[in-house]
Amino acid sequence: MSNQQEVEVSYDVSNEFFRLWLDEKMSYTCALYEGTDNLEEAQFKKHQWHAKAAHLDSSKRLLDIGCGWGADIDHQVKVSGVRSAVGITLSSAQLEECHRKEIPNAEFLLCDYRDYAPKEKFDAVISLCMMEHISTPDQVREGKHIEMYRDYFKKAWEWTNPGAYFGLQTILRNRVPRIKEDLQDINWLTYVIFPGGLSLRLEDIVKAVNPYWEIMEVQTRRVHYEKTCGEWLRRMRLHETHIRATYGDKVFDDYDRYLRTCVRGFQMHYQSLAMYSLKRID
Amino acid sequence: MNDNEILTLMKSSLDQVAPGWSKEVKEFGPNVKFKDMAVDSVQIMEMVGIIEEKCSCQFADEDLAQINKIGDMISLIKKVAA
Repeated sequence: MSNQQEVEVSYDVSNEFFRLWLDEKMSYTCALYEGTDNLEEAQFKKHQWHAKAAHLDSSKRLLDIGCGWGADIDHQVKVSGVRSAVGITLSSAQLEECHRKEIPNAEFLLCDYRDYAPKEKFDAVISLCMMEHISTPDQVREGKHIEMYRDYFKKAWEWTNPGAYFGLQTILRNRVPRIKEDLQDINWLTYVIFPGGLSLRLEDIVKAVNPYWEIMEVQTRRVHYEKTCGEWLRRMRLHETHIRATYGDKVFDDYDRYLRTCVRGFQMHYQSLAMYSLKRID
Repeated sequence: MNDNEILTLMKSSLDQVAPGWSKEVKEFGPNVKFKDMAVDSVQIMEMVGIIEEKCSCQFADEDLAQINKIGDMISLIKKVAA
């Protein structure tokens, strides 16, 4: 599992830095470009998809595991109307932004999911691209990852009431690159931008959800994530002078390489993205 | 190919991608983990690419995701190149 220090490498460059190129709500996950080419509208559609996947309504109490800068909770409270929500994150910078947003009926905690103990059970779970932080590359190579993922699903099961649904999103590893430059870029991204973590293979999710959650729906969104990363890259480059002056050349160069690598990764089928609706096995 | 032939193939492929690697490695056998050798994961995958070319085969990505030690690679080569 990525520890707090590793998570902070990925997410604590500066909230203002990420605000320059993410959408206005600061959703740092794949958007859903259905019927739109606009990032803000596509992120709204992503949150709507997960609202449906998690069967949200005004009676529900929602848990967001790996809540980021609070974008999804903001949507589910204000648009889906959930009665309350709790978001957990290991990033102190993200937590600060979540509190700054003053989202009604929402509580945010700086917490490792392995240490979390809810006071009250939840009716729904959403977790967007947090599972990638559960196993390190070494743990995956040693075959320990399935049990680690299964433990995560077990905890989500224990924290929820019967009848709960889970809206999940994960980056997928697919083809292994054979081109040296691509291998180098993906290796660099894995260890420098997202240390302590690794994307999942689809079959690992299928194995690990049992016996806790039933996969009701899976949609892969490879082209959507290619488009999302392309738009993040475009927006970041618009602020190149400012970023170099404020955060240094290394931050701009690293993030430019990282986002270019992501776009190529999705183009070359090295990576994909999946959205799932899971139903609690009661 | 028998195990020794496969080990020779792996060694010659590693010689191409990581010259001098063998000076750092005392043992090269089935139980040796790649992470304990003086080669990184990029070089391991470059070795895989060379072996695929020499054997005119392609390893399944889901199998490559699980290779941890030399023995895993030997099993994979036997499975595909048989």
